[in-house]
Amino acid sequence: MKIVLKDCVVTVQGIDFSDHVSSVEVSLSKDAVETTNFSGGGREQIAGLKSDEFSVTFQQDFAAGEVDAILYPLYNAETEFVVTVKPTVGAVSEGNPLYTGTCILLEYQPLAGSVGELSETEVTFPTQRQGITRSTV
Amino acid sequence: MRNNRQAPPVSGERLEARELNRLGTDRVRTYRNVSRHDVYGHATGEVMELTLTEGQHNALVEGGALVEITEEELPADAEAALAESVTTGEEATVVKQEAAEEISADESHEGEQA
Repeated sequence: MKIVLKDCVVTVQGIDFSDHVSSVEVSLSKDAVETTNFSGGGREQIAGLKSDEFSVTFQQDFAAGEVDAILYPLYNAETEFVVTVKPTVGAVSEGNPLYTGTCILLEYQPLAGSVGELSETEVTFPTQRQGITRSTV
Repeated sequence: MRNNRQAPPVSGERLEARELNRLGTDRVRTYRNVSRHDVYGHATGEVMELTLTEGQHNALVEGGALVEITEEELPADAEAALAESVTTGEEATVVKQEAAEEISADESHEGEQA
């Protein structure tokens, strides 16, 4: 069933930041390892290492317990943490899968924008090791 | 300046809890959610037990999302309820409502006295 994104749930280190997120992208990617050979006449590839990541656009908030207060220590301490995303606020199910990844924050722009604009920051969370997992239960 | 750092433990050496904390090993601690957001499925004001790395603990406590509760601050019956639910930093189970209500009731009583 087609859906319109209205109530995605995004958690970072267990904190539900959904009310401070305006866009989210779950990106699943594997390296393309070339194995092209003289048979077949065309290129051949196999899957290499994963490089899954979450991209989240946060509406910036510098208050205690909010976006910057949580993201900056995670960036500064180089701590691994879990990010989860699901399409709707409902229970996890076949129609509402949960995407989970252990991430590390390597880049963070706390402040960027022009006068009169809402302060937003797009943060990319690259995943570690097994990448993003998908669950339906 | 004198170097007061202790030598690292020898492999197989039994470690005291304090030594484990110094080394940053994950351990179960009790927290209260003081942020406006749900944390590991717990609403504002609820108490939970989490197993976090030192970096995760620091981020959440210094960031102002959680407050660590010591054993002295935890009511006796709430402590028993929490003992039945051990969680990890990635899968937090819901703490028994009695524990959260006990703490909320204590706070309300203290507020009235003030």
